[in-house]
Amino acid sequence: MITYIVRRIMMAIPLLFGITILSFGIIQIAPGDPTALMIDPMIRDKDLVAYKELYGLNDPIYVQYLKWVGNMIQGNFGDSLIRQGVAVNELIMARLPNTLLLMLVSTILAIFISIPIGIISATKQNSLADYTFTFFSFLGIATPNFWIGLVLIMFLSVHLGWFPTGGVATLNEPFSIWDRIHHLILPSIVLATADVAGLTRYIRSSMLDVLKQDFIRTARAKGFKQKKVVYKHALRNGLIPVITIFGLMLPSFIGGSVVVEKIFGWPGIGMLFFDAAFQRDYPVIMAITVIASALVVIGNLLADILYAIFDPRIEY
Amino acid sequence: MSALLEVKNLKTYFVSKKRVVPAVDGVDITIRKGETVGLVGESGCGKSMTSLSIIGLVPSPGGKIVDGQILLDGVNLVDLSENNMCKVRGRDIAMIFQEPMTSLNPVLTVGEQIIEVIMYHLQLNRSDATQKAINLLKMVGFPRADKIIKEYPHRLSGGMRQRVMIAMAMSCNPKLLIADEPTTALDVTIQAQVLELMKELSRKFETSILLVTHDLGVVSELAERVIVMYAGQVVEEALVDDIFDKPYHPYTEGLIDSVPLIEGAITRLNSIPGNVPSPEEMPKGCRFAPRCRVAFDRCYSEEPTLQSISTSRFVRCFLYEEGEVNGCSRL
Ligand SMILES: Nc1ncnc2c1ncn2[C@@H]1O[C@H](COP(=O)(O)OP(=O)(O)OP(=O)(O)O)[C@@H](O)[C@H]1O
Ligand SMILES: [Mg+2]
Repeated sequence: MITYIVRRIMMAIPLLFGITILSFGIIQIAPGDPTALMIDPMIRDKDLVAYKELYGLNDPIYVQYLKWVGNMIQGNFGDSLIRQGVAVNELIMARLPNTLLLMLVSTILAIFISIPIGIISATKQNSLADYTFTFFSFLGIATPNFWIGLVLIMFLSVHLGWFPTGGVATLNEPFSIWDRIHHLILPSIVLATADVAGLTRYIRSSMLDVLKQDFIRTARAKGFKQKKVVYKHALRNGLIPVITIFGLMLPSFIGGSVVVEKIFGWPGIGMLFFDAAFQRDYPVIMAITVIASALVVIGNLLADILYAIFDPRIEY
Repeated sequence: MSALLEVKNLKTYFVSKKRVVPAVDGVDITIRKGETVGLVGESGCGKSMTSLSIIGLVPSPGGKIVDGQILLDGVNLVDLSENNMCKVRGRDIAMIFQEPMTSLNPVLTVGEQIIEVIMYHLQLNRSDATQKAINLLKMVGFPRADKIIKEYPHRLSGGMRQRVMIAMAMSCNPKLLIADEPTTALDVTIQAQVLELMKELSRKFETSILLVTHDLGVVSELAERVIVMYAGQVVEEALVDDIFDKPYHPYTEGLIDSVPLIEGAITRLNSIPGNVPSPEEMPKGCRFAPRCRVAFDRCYSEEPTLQSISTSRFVRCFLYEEGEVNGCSRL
């Protein structure tokens, strides 16, 4: 098992390098450069050249890349171009915990909602409950996150006043766990919706598949009741393919968090990324791209390991 | 010996909005304690549906027992609630299936799958159940049973898995073991070993066996009596020796003739022309008539009933009306 994990990590390293090259390349192709935004339009050409020189923007692209990667390996993402003198590390570290918290809570939410719904839909196939869940799943898949977010804010926060409209905590109040949870509820529900909808469908079809298998008939022939057949014999088999799907869903999750954080004023790296992208704050954009990619790679690694734990047929 | 299992006029139909498929259409089966009865017939004639009806696992929704009784020690299983039926399944009636490769749960160890059934029905604690599972595995021919219980099914061969299935089925000492094509998926030498094992166990524990197969060779190996099914009905019932000696029903005759015989260097293989009629378009009259070599007018207009020829012999054919044994010479 350990060697399997180590081997998988080794395989992830070249992947991460590929990602740094790609993201660096894409940013270079994108029009506009930071000097256009940060500098007084009346600046003299001579000063502009000096500015570019100062930030290394005149170096050949591969030199810029190597410098950046070299620093990054040492854990240094450089300074923000827009907020002068502030290290990117600092910006990210201030926000990463918020994002991770949001993602963790909505992942747990997504899992705990979609597994029971998927099981009910599969075991009571074509029942009213199944049709209802199916209807809402497709609705959930088809509805963009930001729209659900805005509607919830409008009704639950603005009209009914049940939830705060945004932020991680009430300003100028001492820390309180309830206040934090209160702020977490809406954004994590919104972030979870798209995934709950998709996951429910996957779990349903996977469970339907498993329930048709011969070993389920064997379990029934042993005299086990429906509950035991479903939870002991079918569920674990049914979740195996879902683990992979879950790993594949991570990127959309991170993408979704950018939108959700912006809407809910959640000071996470999603929001930071959003602002940085509009300000062409290269170092911040790049750092977040790399971190997000690393999260995806780690997520898939975890999915693979879980897969190996769940399915004894995987040899490692 | 008294009857352990009495199936009377069993009718299992698949009902959908469009049509009704009578998969099992008035079947009678009697099995005595310790007796092995073979249930033979071509593919699609309703053997599996008959056995699934007995253990109460007719595929649902769709399939349903619409008529008849299934008496196990005098208790009608058809009337039992699902909860009570759960106590019968795996304990009084156990079943093994055709596909050993897919009949075991791939994510649970072999041991767990035997232990769980022992703990469930016999209320043993885990360590006693584990010990019992090891003994069972030794009994079905795993000398290193304490190792095997920790293995996952994918590490075992088909023959080994079928032995595990047998150990599992025998774990609560059932009164009746239903074996639906237990050896069909195995190669010939393994087949013989598994049959030998079943024979030995049924003798040792006085377990009755309903052996479902389309292989008459397997039947002659294991069973004392044979029931031949055609298109959802019993067409002939006889002692094994009698039926091979002289099959009465033209269909049985065809079945026996289609078993490969090696005569000198020439392998002769006769098959019955045509196919089993699909249950939704049964021919009028005798269901076998369109394929029968000796059918006459009456066979196409009237449906024959199951006639008693002697106490152990029944046949559904107009050639044997009123107990008279004529016709159907093996031309
Ligand atoms: N789910 C179902 N829906 C409708 N009809 C079915 C269904 N399952 C089985 N049947 C019908 O029941 C009939 C009997 O099937 P059964 O499986 O009992 O045959 P069998 O004798 O066991 O054949 P085999 O040797 O292939 O196992 C088949 O002809 C089939 O048309
Ligand atoms: Mg069958």
